[in-house]
Amino acid sequence: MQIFDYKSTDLSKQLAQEYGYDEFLIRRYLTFFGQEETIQLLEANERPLKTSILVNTLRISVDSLKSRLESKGIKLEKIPWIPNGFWVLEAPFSVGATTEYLLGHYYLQEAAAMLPAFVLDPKQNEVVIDMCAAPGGKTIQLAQLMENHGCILALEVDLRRTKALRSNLSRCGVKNAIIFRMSALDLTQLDVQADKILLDAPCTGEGVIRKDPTRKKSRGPPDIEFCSALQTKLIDVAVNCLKEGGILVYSTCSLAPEKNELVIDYVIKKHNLKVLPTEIEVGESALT
Amino acid sequence: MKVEKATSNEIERIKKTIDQDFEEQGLFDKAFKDMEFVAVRGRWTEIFIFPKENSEFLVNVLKRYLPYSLGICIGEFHDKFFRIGLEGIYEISKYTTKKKVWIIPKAEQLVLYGRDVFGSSVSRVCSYIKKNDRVIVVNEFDDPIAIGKALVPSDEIKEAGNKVVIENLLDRGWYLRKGR
Ligand SMILES: C[S@@+](CC[C@H](N)C(=O)[O-])C[C@H]1O[C@@H](n2cnc3c(N)ncnc32)[C@H](O)[C@@H]1O
Repeated sequence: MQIFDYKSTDLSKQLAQEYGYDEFLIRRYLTFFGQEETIQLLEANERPLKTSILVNTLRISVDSLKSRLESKGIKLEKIPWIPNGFWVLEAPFSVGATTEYLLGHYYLQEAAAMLPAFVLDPKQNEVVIDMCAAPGGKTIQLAQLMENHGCILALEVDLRRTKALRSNLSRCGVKNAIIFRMSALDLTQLDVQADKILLDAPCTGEGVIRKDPTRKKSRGPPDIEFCSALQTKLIDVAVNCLKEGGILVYSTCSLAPEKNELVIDYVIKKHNLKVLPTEIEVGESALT
Repeated sequence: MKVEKATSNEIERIKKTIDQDFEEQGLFDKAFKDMEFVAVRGRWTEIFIFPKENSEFLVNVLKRYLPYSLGICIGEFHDKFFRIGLEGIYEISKYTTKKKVWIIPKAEQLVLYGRDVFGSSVSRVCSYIKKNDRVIVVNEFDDPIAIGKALVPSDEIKEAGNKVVIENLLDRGWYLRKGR
């Protein structure tokens, strides 16, 4: 596997020093995105992440929840690209401990993380596999889109995270999911051909620097290589468990092309897959 | 651990427990229409519901790999006794008004912290509650937030002032305390 790396420059050294990054990452950003966008990205990573919630329409309507939370002094702003997503602009207390949260009326999910399940667009009679499911935000969203019909197979390898997955699905009233604690690499053991698959790949990515600034430094070439190898294996398994004509959505929380564009490129060439447009209006095109 | 469809005997017992405890004819049938019951047998037996329309698919998958969990768990059997859980209560709550105690908004957080319910925290109470009955503790929006045990009958509940009237057996704060 090739890991992209580029020559060090005065600018890359200066930005790495100023923003506290491993210079390797900065050299890459400058090459992939250019100077202006790199600085925008580094600046954006300094701003705290806005809390966001997705209303669980299995349990409550968007309007009812909105008025209930607003009456408690919580200020919400609609996320334009998701019908039931809101940013929390102001909250007098933690939104992770309200009565409505405990009743499963909503769950906390980053605005960008609301997209993959939405794009997959599962239908009520379909069999859907969520290959890396914990803590379950996207599984809950799939169940909502399917209105608790059809069937979701939700896999997670880590025991502690599987427990959290069960708890979250239960709190939110998800009835149509089966949780397996197993490596998605062994998915063929279930002998299921799915209509749709979500591979929200594990990646310890740079996409979460705002939540975990240690990632500015700790994501060197060995990490990228490790993740990319695992992701390539996972996506291969995914394609093998997909029905003819089925749809796979691959998502990561990383900016590294070795974990994104290269993985996709590998799998479409190997299996002769067709790339579909997503019909959503946010985001940027991939690197080519 | 073993996972299989619940026996008809078990289902019958769940139905009887729910219909009797909440004194609402047909409550079980209304709440669990179109659901398959699955038993997960470990040290005790947990009962899960899963949409019946997919039970054939479920049974086939179960043959190949043991799941960690499925659908939602509505309660547990300890020996022969079925004990309804938080999500079981959630499912039946909207189909009944008997055995319900409504609490005032100020008391809601306390109950969710595991505290018992005082007489002065009750805004409304149905008239069917006897001492030691299982009751559903609901908030002003009729959302079930806890399962409780009545320490006094209906007519004494609101009169009791700062005396505990409902013992909190299990509340949804569990999801923060234990269920993470
Ligand atoms: C990006 S997170 C998934 C987030 C989740 N989809 C959500 O929306 O809440 C990736 C998950 O994959 C799990 N994972 C890592 N390797 C795995 C494997 N081989 N099989 C299944 N899950 C795996 C990790 O433990 C982690 O929980």
